[in-house]
Amino acid sequence: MNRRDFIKYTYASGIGLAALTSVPLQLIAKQGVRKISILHTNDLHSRIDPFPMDGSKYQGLGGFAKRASLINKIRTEEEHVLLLDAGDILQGTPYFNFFQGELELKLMSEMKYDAATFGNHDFDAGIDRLSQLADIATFPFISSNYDFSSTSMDNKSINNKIFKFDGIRVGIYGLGIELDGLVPDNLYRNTVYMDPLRTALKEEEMLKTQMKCDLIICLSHLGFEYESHKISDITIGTNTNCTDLIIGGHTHSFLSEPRIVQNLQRKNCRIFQVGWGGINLGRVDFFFNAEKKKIFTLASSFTIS
Amino acid sequence: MNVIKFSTRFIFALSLLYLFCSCRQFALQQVEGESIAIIHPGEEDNHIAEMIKPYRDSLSVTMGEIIGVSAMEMKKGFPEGLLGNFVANLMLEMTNNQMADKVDFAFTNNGGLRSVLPQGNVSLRNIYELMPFENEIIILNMDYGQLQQLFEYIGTGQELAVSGIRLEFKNDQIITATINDMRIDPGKTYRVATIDYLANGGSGMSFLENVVKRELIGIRLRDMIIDYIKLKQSMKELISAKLDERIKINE
Repeated sequence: MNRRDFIKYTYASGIGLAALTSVPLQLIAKQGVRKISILHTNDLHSRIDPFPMDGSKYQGLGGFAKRASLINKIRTEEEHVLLLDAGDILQGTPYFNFFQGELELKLMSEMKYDAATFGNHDFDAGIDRLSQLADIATFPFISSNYDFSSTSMDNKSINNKIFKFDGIRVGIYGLGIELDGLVPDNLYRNTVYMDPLRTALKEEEMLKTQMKCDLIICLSHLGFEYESHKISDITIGTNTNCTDLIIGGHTHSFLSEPRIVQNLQRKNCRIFQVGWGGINLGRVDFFFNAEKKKIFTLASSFTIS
Repeated sequence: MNVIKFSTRFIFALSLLYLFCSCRQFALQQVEGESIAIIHPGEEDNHIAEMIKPYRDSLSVTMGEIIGVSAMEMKKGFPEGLLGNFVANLMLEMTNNQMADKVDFAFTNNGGLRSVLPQGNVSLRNIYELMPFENEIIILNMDYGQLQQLFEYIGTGQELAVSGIRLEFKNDQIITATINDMRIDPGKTYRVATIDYLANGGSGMSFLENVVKRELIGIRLRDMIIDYIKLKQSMKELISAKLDERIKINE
């Protein structure tokens, strides 16, 4: 039963609508339950408009304006929302070719994205342009395994960030894919790629023990899974200790729900990715009780049609 | 009194309901997020839509720019077509203009060419429709064995556009193959221009993943096509192509 049906049903039972709608939040507060809703996109690829109505597979799907409407709606319903992107914001439509990412970053800022990480295609206009785009964005780029110190991107991104919601601390770090062979080197210049797994272990340990985070999220553009030994989200998820959620990209994987893997501590790590082009908005809800212990998670992938 | 009694009863009933909800309400909220998008999927945020509009309008003007003139309508064809020959030819010519070491031949997949190039004025929009993908030019150093695999692939009826090679098949068997009109030297490594999509195993060309020596040269195929047409326009030349039996498939 969805919420709308529930309301209809109970309203029909003769109960005042106003009284009812106010009940859940009060109860949740009383019981000390906290809910954090993570909304996410990946591989938007400059799909500002919905896919054109040309008979192709994704016609009419996606579009920034429709996504914004859905996100706004969720924000009115949920107290604690984080909106994240896992990279490859750029490249794929003439909007990028002619405006070099300006519109993408302006819109994402207006939509109040909380953070993003870099995808390989985000270097496509060159690192100097990426540096300008990072200035346009009102949200931070989180990247833990690219060393930009010898580039114009120096100090334009952060290694991690902690968001606080009503006592819950959410720590986020970011992992980028190896650029060599994927991006012409004149575009990423002196960016130094560092081992993603070692970086992940270091970041999650710091976020957990020093920063006392209750929830640790990895924003990744490594790719979901490979047949070869190439490092992927599955590699990270199974070889870390306390990363709770990996929001991935790059492989354009359409997952209908997060893949659950066992980490080194035999605890669950969830890995999610929602296709590409803004066709879907991913959502993972984390509920915490008074002991601030995660009690269960809910996840879904919306198709924006 | 009756009224008060009734009210008390009512409040009592309501508080019971609260308790009842405390058990059930939680479960109901789990479904909440999922149902939102399904019920209201198509609504646009007006503010975001207004921000997009001037960019979309400007783009519509930009894409109308005429970048050159074509002598003929060019379509795909099998085993060769004007459009494929045009694109493969310019890939070979433009990579050789850019590279110090000679590139021997070029190929791309007809499947990646998504529309027809019209006779007369060619707009930027035409090229974006023709080549919507972000495929980049890559140079592969292919040995004799890898060339054989490539030719066999073409022989099975896969539609590739080529330039710089001539192939003749009979009953799926290759009977002649030349590169730059010369017989293939089994001891030589040939430099071949194609797109990263194919080089990474796309369109069933997984054998290309075994080509170790490869180099992205930092230009997309679409930009190369645009650059070529603009170059011809600057020399006041029409763009054109012809069929020359570069791939012959005999029964």
